[in-house]
Amino acid sequence: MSETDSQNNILSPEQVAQKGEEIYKNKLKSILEPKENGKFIAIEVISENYFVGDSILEALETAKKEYPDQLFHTIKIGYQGVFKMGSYIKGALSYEWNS
Amino acid sequence: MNGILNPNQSPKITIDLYGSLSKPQSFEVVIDTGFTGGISMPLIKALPLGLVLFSTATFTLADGSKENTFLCLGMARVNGIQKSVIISLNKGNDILIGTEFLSSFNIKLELDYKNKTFDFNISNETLGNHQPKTIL
Repeated sequence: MSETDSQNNILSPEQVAQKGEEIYKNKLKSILEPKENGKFIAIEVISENYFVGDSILEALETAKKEYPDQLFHTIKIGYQGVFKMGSYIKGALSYEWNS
Repeated sequence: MNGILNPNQSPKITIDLYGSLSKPQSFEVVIDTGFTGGISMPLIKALPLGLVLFSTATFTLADGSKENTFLCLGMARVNGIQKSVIISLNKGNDILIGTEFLSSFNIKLELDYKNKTFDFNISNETLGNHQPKTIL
């Protein structure tokens, strides 16, 4: 059985993350960087719509108002990751998928 | 609020966390100033709170490597002040609060490594404006 339920457009979290990274890299990075560096973007990967906010909470709240039932992928514009994590919890964070 | 630094030289405090399906529950959390996010908590502690799964995201670690996580929306309450917070899930044992959490609550944190103590206070500005904003 495929991970995707194509009839219902339901994606696994891994697929949401992969599609979100692809959409950002191929379509949004050149539009948003460097002008919006430091802001957060929540991407709805089926419609490819995106929502920018000064904080991750702001971006996700705006996205959820438009798509209340969807899972988003979040990126910090111009950065490798949305947050930095120190050494306190190293090795205990990852949920494995190919990024 | 004040206390003694834990063996990892980090302060530990107690805060209330809750989601859409639960009453506030008290948790001991580690203040990790090397973490730039809000809250990171083990999946097994997050599930009973009924947190809303919101997003996938990638974090960077101190060595430059990247790791993946899930982000949930929940509520946090500190000294009677409550706010919406983004909670990332981890597979460890500890709940961490990071610099975004400290910033959103206007926390003043003073660490005394000589005496192994800390002082944790919320600014008067926050105490005077604490209506919760929630979309749960």
